[in-house]
Order: sequence, then structure tokens, then C-alpha cells
Amino acid sequence: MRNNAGIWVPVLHAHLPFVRHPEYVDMMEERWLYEAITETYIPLLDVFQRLSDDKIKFRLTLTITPSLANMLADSLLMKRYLNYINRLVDLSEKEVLRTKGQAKYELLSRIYRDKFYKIRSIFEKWNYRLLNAFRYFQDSGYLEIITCCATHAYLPLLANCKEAVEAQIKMAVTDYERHFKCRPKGIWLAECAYYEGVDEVLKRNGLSYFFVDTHGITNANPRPSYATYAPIDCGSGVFAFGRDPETGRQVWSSEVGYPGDPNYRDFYRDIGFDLDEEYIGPYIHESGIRLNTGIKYHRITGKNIADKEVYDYSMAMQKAWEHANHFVFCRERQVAAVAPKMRRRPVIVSPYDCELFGHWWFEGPEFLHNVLRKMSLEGQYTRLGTPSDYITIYSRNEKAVPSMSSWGEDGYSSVWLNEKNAWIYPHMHKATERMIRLANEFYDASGLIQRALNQAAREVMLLQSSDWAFIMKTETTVGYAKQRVKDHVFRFNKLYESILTGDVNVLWLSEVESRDNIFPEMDFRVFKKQE
Amino acid sequence: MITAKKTASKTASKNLKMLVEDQKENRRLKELEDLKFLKDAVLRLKIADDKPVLKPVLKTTSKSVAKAKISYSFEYVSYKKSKKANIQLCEIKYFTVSLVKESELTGELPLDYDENRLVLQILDPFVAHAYWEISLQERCRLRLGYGGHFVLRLHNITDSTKEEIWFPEDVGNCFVALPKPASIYRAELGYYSSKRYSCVAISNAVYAPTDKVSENPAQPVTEDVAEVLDVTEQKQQVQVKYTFVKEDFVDQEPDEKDSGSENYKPL
Repeated sequence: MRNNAGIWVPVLHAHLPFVRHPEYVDMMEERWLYEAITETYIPLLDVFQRLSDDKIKFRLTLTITPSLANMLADSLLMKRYLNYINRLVDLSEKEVLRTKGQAKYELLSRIYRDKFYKIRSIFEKWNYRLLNAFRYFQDSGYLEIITCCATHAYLPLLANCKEAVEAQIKMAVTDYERHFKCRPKGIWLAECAYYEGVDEVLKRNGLSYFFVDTHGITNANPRPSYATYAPIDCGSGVFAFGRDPETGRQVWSSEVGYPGDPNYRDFYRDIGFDLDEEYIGPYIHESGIRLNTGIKYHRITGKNIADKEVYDYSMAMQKAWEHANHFVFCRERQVAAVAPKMRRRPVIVSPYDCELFGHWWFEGPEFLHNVLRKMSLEGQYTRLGTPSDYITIYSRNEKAVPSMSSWGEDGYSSVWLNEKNAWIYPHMHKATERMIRLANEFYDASGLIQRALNQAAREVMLLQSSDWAFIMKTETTVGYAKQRVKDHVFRFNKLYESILTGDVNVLWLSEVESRDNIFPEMDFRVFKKQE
Repeated sequence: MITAKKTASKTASKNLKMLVEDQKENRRLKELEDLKFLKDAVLRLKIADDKPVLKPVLKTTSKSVAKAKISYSFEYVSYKKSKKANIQLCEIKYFTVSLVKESELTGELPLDYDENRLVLQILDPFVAHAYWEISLQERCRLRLGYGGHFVLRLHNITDSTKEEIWFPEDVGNCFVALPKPASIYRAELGYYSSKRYSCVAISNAVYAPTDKVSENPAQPVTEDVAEVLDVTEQKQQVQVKYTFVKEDFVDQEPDEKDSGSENYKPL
């Protein structure tokens, strides 16, 4: 490998909204977490383990958002997850019996069975604490885990409440330290959303870099010389890394991206919908609503769900290998084309939603494994790195202010602010303003009032989560998202009134604390007015 | 004197005892009430299993500050049968029954906050979103319904221009087309009555981002030159390339004749 090789920075952004309902026996939305653990997080841990067993020194940047970290550290959710994976193991055993004699299906059912057993064993191996597993790979030098806004708040739409932006970042850093026993080096701004001035907040909280979409760099002022092939110094000493458009297209695009290959497994056809209710009943929602079980036997073929052909696992694995080869080849070619024009080693930043790998794209973890292995062993012009690795080599970068941007559809804020979700913001901003007022007026509070203030801060942060607006725009579980907004506004306002009157109902407060229990270390003073 | 003190002390002690007894009794009654509520709550949970085996209150939780029982965590063994597969699924389920009614934990959104308020948010270089509220008192003062109308003034602070957008009284928000990107805007909510204009609220200032590549190139970092010296050891070419990078890097195709390409031959 050449000393002046380009640096490829893969970034996986793992995030789920904070969903935890101890009051229900079987909450459908909690399955988002269970599915992601089964299909993405544990398969990725498996990939990391396989690579490290083979002494392959890969480098990967991984965001674990504070809301996801809090769920992965929650004992109730982990106990429930154990039930979930036990049920899948059970179902896969049944499937082996059911598909006996149907050659292709039987083979697949055995593959699923082995996969679920393996996932359960990995979960048990890490003593049901997946954060410890990720921390282990960070401490071993393979991962660079970074943080994200505390509850994935979309910062440009909170810009009129500076204290709230500061609180989101401060809380994120505090929470990261609790889970990973060190300070984060960088941050993934939720939805890659930047507006001028955020970098100052990051600097105050000891963060040295963040990411923006391509146009955040190309439209920066003044114009950076290297486009996204080098980070820029925002003027505050914090670096902004720009997303590389080519690597984005290769993986994200529904038309030309790898995940759309007809050899890959289809996401939508699932036995949860295909099989008799009598048979599948115990494995879907207790109310009888059909759900994805995770066992799918078909590949991406045919426009109608019924026309899809049977999935061929070995062919798909072959394809994942070919695509990985192609991806690495393209990076080598990209660096070879760009590097001669630069006075420094180019950096290619490729951020992806973590849940794409495994959950949406079944073969994703295998693809990633192949890419990391191949680039580590055979990369001539490109080597793996993290933003910190790059900053260690180049501590000085061109000064420019990135342009306001996000990685959402159209590159700005229209996904999180449109006619479907604009109604959230008056309540969100009002609650935030009230929280800032409380933090200042009751700065020295203690005892019950302090507890109420901390809970009020949790409620307002959960309200600020960008996920509710996103769900309303994409029209998926809109009812749930609306209810969450209502709940948090209601609970916050009730706390606000009771704190002002000094009449806090302990029973009620305790119940709300036990439900919305994100950030046990919450200190409401993070909302204190800026000097 | 001493007797009076003793009597007072005895009375106080008696009162205290009674108070404690009362509290104990109250607590006992409360717990009985709680348990009744709890029983009802468990029944309300539609447990669909064939034979749910509820282990009565395995653990209760309490908080140190108030020492009040707040909820009961349940673990119960659930059996599910599937006739076809002849396999019985058995698992422990976890859930909490609260002493607080669900209706006390959620409610409708406030209709308003009874204040004058105008907030402007940037959507993209060409669109902003404004929302507002006008208090009841202000509405009375403005004597709404007597022929006047509201207006949203959009001030471009960067080039000191303004424009007005008219809107009906019952609207609370709108998307506003911005005349120019890369400018600072502030909005003003006003009311035109037959005689005069009244300002009701002024918004925060926002910056609409640029929609194009800046014409001003960034100042290259000095180390970049030094690094090329290490790689190519050709000072003259460094200076040429330096100028080139500074101006036109983004849209240029790779130049194979460039000396640096010796190290990076296209594959």
C-alpha cells in the first residue's frame, strides 16, 4: 500500500427513536429495536468479530445515537428482546419441519435457524449488553464510535432556541461518557443537518468534527479547493467532513444501487403475511395483526409480491462478493483520479444508515465484511480510516463556513417541516422556552422539584426528536408519532404547572419517570440560558 | 409550671401517636384501594393466552424521596399453542401496571398559549415557514371583524427591502417564498384597520442559505505545498498545481500528464 493513499471513511449511523412501553405486554413499535438488533446490530458485531479474529485491522466510524444507546442499555427492553429472539428460534425450528421435502425452502429455513441461534448466542456472549460489545471493538482500535444529538433533534428547526441546541449536544456528550467511558471525538448531527453557528456549540462541548451533505461543503463560503475530498475548518477549529456523492449513489440509489439487485432477498414478502393464522398466530402481534417475522424466502423479482422467485442464498452471497469487489475497485479508481490534483491525501466519506445493512438489505453485513476485508488487505490507493485518523495527519484545513444543509430529500428541511408536521413546532418551541425559563428560575432546586425539573427536561427532549416529524411525512406509523408528540407536550406542561405552583404529585411523577426513563443522568441545568 | 409542661408534652406525644396511627391506617386503606385498582387494571389488560399464569405482585418499586408505591411490575408465564406445529411456546412476559390512570398521562394539545408570537424558520434557500399566535386580549384591542385585516411583512435585512403577504384571520401559519437566497430575513405580523397599521409581533431573524457555489476561493493551507514537495520533489510544478487547485478543482477531469499521476495511475 502506498504511503500517500487516499482515505476511505465509512460511516454507519445507527439510530432508532426512543420507544419503550412497560405498560404494554406487546408493543408493536418496540419491535423496531428488536428487528434492528437481530438483523443489523448483532450481524455487524459478528462481522467485526470475524475480521478481528483474522487480524484484519479495519477502521469504521459508527454513530450510536443516545436514544438508541439508552434502549440498548435498558434491562426491560433487553429482557423483552430475549423473548423475541427465543420466539424466532422457535419459529425457525418449526419452519424446518414445515418445509421438509421442499428442497429450496428447507435449505433456507435451516439457514435462518442457524442464523437465529447464532444471534442469540452472540447476545448471550455479551451478557445481553450490546453496548459493551461495541465498546470492546472501539477499545480494540477497530471502531470509532461517535455521538449524535441527544434525541436526534433536527437542529436547524431549533435554531431559535440556542439553549436547546446546546442542551442536545451537552446531553449527548454526557450520555456517551456514561456508556463508553470516554469522550466522543466527533458527532453526527441528526439528519446531517447543519446551520451556521452549530460548530461553536460543538467546540464548547469538546467535539472536533461532524458531517455535512455534499452541498454543505460545495456551497461553503469561501469555496473550498478540494470539494468533499478534504474537510473544512468552520473557523471555530471544528472540522466538517462532506459526504461523497458517488459512494452514496452506489449503495443508496434504488435504481442503480447494489441493494436492488434481483439476486438479493426481498424485504416485503415475509411468512408473517404468507402463512395461515393458526400456524403463525403465536409469532405475530398478540392482537392478530400480521407483522414481519424476519423469515423471508423470496428474492427481488417480479413487481407483484406473489410473483417473486425463491431466494438463492449462495447466489446472493456471490453477488455480495462481486459488489464488494466492484465497490473497492471504484474507490481505487476514484482516488487514482483525484489524488494527482491534490496537495494532500484525499478523503472519501461514505455515510449510510446503519439499519440499511441487514434490515433493509439482508446481504448488507456480508457486503460490508467483504469491502472492509478487501480494502484492508488489497487496497493499493485507498486505505480505511476515520475522521480522527485524517485529522491526526492533517490538523490544518482550509477555513470556510459550510452552507446550511441536510441529507434529506431536496437537501434542506422540507422533510421535517411541511404541511403534515408543521403543527408540531409551536408546541415544541413553547415547551423548550418554558424549559429554559424553569432551568433559570429553579437553578438551585433540590429534592422533589429537582426530580420534576429533570423529568420535564426529558419530556422536552423527547418531544424534540426529529423522528415524529419524519414519520408524519413518510406516512408510516403516523398515529403513533402524533400520540408521542401529544404525550410529551401534555406531560411537560403538567410538570411545568406543578413546578411553578410547587405542587408536584409524587405518584404521577414517578410513573412518568418510569416510562420516559431516557437519560438517568439528566440534569435540567443543561437548559440554562447562555451567558 | 413543670406539670403544665408535662401535660403539654403528653398531649403532643399522644397527638403524634394518633397522627402516626392515622397515617398508617390511611396508608393501609390506600394500599387496599391501590390493590383493587391494580386488580381492575390487570383485568383490563386483554391477555389472550390460553392459560395465563399471573404470579401475584413479584416486586414493587419505590422511590427514595417519597417512598410511595408507584407501580407493580409483573412477570407471568405465557403459554401459546399452535395446533399445526404441535409446539407450545412458553415465555416470561414483562409489563408494569401503574397506579396512575392512563387518562392522567396523556391529553389533547393546548389550543393556544395566549400570547402574541411570530416565529420564522428557514426551509431552504427560497422558502421560509412562519407561524404565529395572537392573544385574545390583542384581538379585542385590534377590534377584529371591523373591516381590518392581517398582514405579514417580510423584511430582507441584508438589502433593506420588504414585502407584504396578506392572510385571513383564522390562519396560524404559512410558507413564505423568499425573494433572494443568502440573505437575512425578519418577519413582522401587523394589522391594518381602516385608519392605521398596528404591529402585533416581530419574529426572530433567520438566514436563508445560498443556493450556489461561492465565487471566492478559500485560502489553501500552507502545509499542502510542503506535502507535494515530499511526494514529487519538483518545486516548479508545485507552484503550477497550487494555482490550479485553488481555482478549478471541483469540475476538472484527471490530467494523466500531470506529474503527480505517476503515483496514482488510473486502474
